[in-house]
Amino acid sequence: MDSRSPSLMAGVPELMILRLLAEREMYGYELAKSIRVLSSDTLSLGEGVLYPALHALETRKLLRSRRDRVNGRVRVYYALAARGRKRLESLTAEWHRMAGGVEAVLGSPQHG
Amino acid sequence: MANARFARLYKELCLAGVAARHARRSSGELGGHHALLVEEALARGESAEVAERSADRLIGTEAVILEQFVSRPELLAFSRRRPGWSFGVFPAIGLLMGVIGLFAALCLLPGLLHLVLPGARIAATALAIKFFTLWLGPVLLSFICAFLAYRYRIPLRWPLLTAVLVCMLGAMIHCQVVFDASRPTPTGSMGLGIGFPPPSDQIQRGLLTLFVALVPVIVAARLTARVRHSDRN
Repeated sequence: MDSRSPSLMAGVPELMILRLLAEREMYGYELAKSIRVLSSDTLSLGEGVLYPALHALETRKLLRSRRDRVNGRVRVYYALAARGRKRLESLTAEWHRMAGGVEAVLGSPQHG
Repeated sequence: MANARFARLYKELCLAGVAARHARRSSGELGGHHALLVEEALARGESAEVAERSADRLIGTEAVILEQFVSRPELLAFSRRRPGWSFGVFPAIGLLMGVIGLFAALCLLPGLLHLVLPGARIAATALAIKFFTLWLGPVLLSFICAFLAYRYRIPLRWPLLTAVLVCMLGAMIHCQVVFDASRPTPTGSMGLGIGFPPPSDQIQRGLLTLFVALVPVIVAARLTARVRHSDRN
C-alpha cells in the first residue's frame, strides 16, 4: 500500500482481501499475486503485511481458515465468513461513497 | 537463508509481544510465500541470486511486518494486552486453587490409607501443603510469569508484582490437618488471613520465599537486557 497517504489508504487492504476472498478461498501467496495482477502492480504493498491483516481479520471472525499440506509445506487457506460478507458490503458502500465524493471534487470547475 | 530469516522473524515477533500462535503461523506462511516467489522468479529466467533478492523485496522488510503485527492489539499475547490479569489476578487464583486442590487430595488420600491401614498417620500431609503454599507454588508461579515477561518483553515490574503477591499470599494461607485415630478420616481446616497479634511472622515467611522467587525474575531481567543490548548493536 502506498505509505505516503496512510489515512486515505487505511482500510483498503481489508477491503481488497475481503473482496478477493468473496470469490473463492485463497492462501496468502495467491491473494498477494491476485492483488498484484488485478491492480497491474499499482498497489505495490510489501506482501508480508498481508499476513497480519489476514490474522487480524480471522481473529475478528471475518475470515475462517483451514490448513492443507502441499509439497511438504503447510498452506493456510482463508475464506470469507458470514460476518466478513456483511463487513465487505459495508466497506464497499463506504468506499463508493468516498470515491464518489473525491470524484465530484476532482470533476468540478475550479473556484476562485 | 530465507528459513533463517523467518525463524528470526518468529523470535522477533514473540519478543515484540505478538501471540506465539500468530508468530509461528505467520513465519511459516511467509517462508512458503517467499519460496513461491523465488520459484516464480526462477521460472521467469532470473538467476537464483536475483530471484532471492526480488522475493525479499516483494515480501518487505522485517521492520514493516513487525510494525503491522504490533499495531493490531488483537494479535498480541494476552499477557501483553492484559498484564494486570496475567500477572496479578490469575497467579493469585492459581495459587489458591492449587492449595485447595492439594488440600482436598491429601485429606482424601490419608483417609483412603486409613481404611487400608487402620490407625496410620500421614504426618506429611500438613507439611506437603505448607511446602506447596510457601515454596513450590509461589516459586513456580514466579518462574512462569518471569518466562512470560521475558518472552513477550513485558516490563519487569509485572513479574515482580507476581512474585511479591504470591509469596505474601502463600504466607497468609494457613492449613491444619488433624489425624485422630478414633475417627475414620482426618479432619482439616484451612484459612486465609493475617494473624494477630502483628503479622511479623507471616511477613518474614513471605520475604524468605520472595528471596527465592525473585531468582527467575532476575534471570529474566538479565536475559531481556542482553536481548535489548544485541538489538541496539
